[in-house]
Amino acid sequence: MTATLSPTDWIAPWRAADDLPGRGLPWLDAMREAATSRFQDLGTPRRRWEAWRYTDVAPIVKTTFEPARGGTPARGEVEAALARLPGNGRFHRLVFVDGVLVEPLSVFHELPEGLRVLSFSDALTQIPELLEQHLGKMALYEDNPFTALTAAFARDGVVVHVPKGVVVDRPIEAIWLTTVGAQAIANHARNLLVAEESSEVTLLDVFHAAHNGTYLNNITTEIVAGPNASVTHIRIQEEGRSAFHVADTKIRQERDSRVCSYVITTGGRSSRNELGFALSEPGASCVLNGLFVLNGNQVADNMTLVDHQSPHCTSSEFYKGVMDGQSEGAFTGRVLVREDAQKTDAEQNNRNLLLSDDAQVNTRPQLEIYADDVKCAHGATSGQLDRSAMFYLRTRGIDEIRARQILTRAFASEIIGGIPVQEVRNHLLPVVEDRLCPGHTLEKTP
Amino acid sequence: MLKITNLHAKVEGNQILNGIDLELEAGQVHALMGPNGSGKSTLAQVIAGRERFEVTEGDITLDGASILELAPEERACKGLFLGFQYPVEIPGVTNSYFLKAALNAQRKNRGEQELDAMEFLALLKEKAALMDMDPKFLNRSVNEGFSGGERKKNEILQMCILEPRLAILDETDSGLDIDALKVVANGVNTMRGEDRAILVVTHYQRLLEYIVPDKVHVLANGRIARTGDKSLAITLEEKGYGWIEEEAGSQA
Ligand SMILES: Nc1ncnc2c1ncn2[C@@H]1O[C@H](COP(=O)(O)OP(=O)(O)O)[C@@H](O)[C@H]1O
Ligand SMILES: [Mg+2]
Repeated sequence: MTATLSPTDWIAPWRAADDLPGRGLPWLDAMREAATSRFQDLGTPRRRWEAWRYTDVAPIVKTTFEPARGGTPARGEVEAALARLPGNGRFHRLVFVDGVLVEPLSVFHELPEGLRVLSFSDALTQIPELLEQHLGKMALYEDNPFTALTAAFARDGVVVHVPKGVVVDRPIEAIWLTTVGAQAIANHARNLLVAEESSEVTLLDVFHAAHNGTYLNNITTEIVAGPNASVTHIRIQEEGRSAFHVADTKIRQERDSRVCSYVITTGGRSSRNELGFALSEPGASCVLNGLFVLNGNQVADNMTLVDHQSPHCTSSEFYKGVMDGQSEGAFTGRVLVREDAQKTDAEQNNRNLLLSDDAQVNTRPQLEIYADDVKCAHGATSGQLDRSAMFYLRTRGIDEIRARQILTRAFASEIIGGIPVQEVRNHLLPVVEDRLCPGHTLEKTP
Repeated sequence: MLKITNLHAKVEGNQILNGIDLELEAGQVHALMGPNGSGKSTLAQVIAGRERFEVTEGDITLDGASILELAPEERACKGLFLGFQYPVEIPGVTNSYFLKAALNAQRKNRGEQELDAMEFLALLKEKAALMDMDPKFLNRSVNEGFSGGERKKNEILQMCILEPRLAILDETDSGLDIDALKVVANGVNTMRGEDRAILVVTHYQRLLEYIVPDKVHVLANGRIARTGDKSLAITLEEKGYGWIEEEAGSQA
């Protein structure tokens, strides 16, 4: 760690790199150049920027990073991690180690006709037109320095193209593992999911590390849901205890599409999850559910936006936070209902549980409504475990630690229970419990 | 079994219990009656170990040993059960999970084998049938969306499963229709036995027609104002509590 580097110095190792994929594609070269220069103009984010107020960005920009260039970790180590993660055996699986796809670890079951599941670098050679058409159209980098970095320097990521009418019956899972090295690495990655008309797909992004080294995962994900398409996106962030994680996920929905997003944060020293939905055509509906479970000195910022641009769209948002130790959680839920978006039905709820006196949470519901015939509801609460419920459990012989665990799990399970993939639910419950009470995992609920 | 001597307790600076003396032997059922606000629930919760009630004087012993320093769960493991006047809702925790966790925590504490899922389910079904409870309540969140009567039945169900040696039932009869009252009384009566003591806290004499007590205590102004046999309950039903409060007031 040194004093904050100048933006130019901070990205010098990337600017010097001449091995990024897709070089020579004119549109890509132009985008990279523009994004690099935009990053240099913006500089790294400051806490006084409204959108970054609750992101703990200082330790990130003080760290000198090397570009992530892929890795070959000890075999047993990766397998142990993979065995713990959901979908072992059933899902289509892409495994990224230090930011680059490792083909031998990846698993593809028989794919439906026309479905493309590729790494970003392969997609640049095999389906560059798809990337040219969509890349950077939803996640704009003009105001977000970290998104500018993925636009400028992305080396890899997941690209999924689901053609019209194709239903992908198994979830597609991208697992991001980071190894420890001499130097902290930063991975700027780019995901793209294009679901054409009436298609259906589930994408999981799982970030996992079993060590306490410092690194940064900076992931930009763009999703387009075509007319009547149905998309589920699940993010599971279980980074190591000294890791940084910055995510910018932007989703555009066309007529009558349905998109459900689940964002589960248990890891990382400092993380930020930005999530934005543009409901650009009538009849689109979206679900934004999230859970952040923090302890120690973790900081996690959730910034969500639902932009109701068209009439007859529905959004339903529910985020829950559990904070222990000296951790700090934040939730910002902006709902923008534009003038044309009549008959909007938007609801938002944020509930937070503070398990210690030193834990903190900031919750900011922001509703901006410019249409008059709409239904918008929101609520936010923050509090401690219900004392009467604690006493009730304890009078039945359940000790204090377990009673806390049972109540906290019940609180968290409301979000986990709503995730439509059983393997993910089964994976998350013990992870969440272990975060709260290391070594005291409860038995499964019947 | 239970011996309370000169118990004083306060909550948030208000003195509520002003020197309670009460003794309950194994094999007995006592009733604790008294007007609203006289301190019945406070006493019940103090015995169970609720932290926000501060004991300022006196003692509570179970089998001769003081329990004042014990956590609520330790008291439960020693065989104490409190049926709540207002059972608490616990969203997200199913009734059956809750009961299994409780039973096995107590068994483990006593060095007994924990029940496995099959054994527990069989026990739960048997006791639910006794309480005339629809099995669907077992997979619902604890007390969430239960009617008043269902909550009270659920308390008795818990008692039947945990098989405490000392049960304190705080107004388990209030809010029950006559059929539910009979079911609850029947549940309590099946628990009567030589090794067990039960303290039935009630506001009305009605329950005592079904659960006939060995003794009746009347609480007024934070003290046991009178102790008698079951005819005292009938007198109270006829004359109300006014005369007892006056008596207690003139003594104070
Ligand atoms: N948390 C509290 N703070 C202040 N006073 C309380 C509290 N809880 C109970 N009380 C008071 O204690 C007295 C006894 O209440 P309670 O034990 O519930 O009576 P009962 O069960 O006999 O109706 C009442 O006057 C009540 O208002
Ligand atoms: Mg009461």
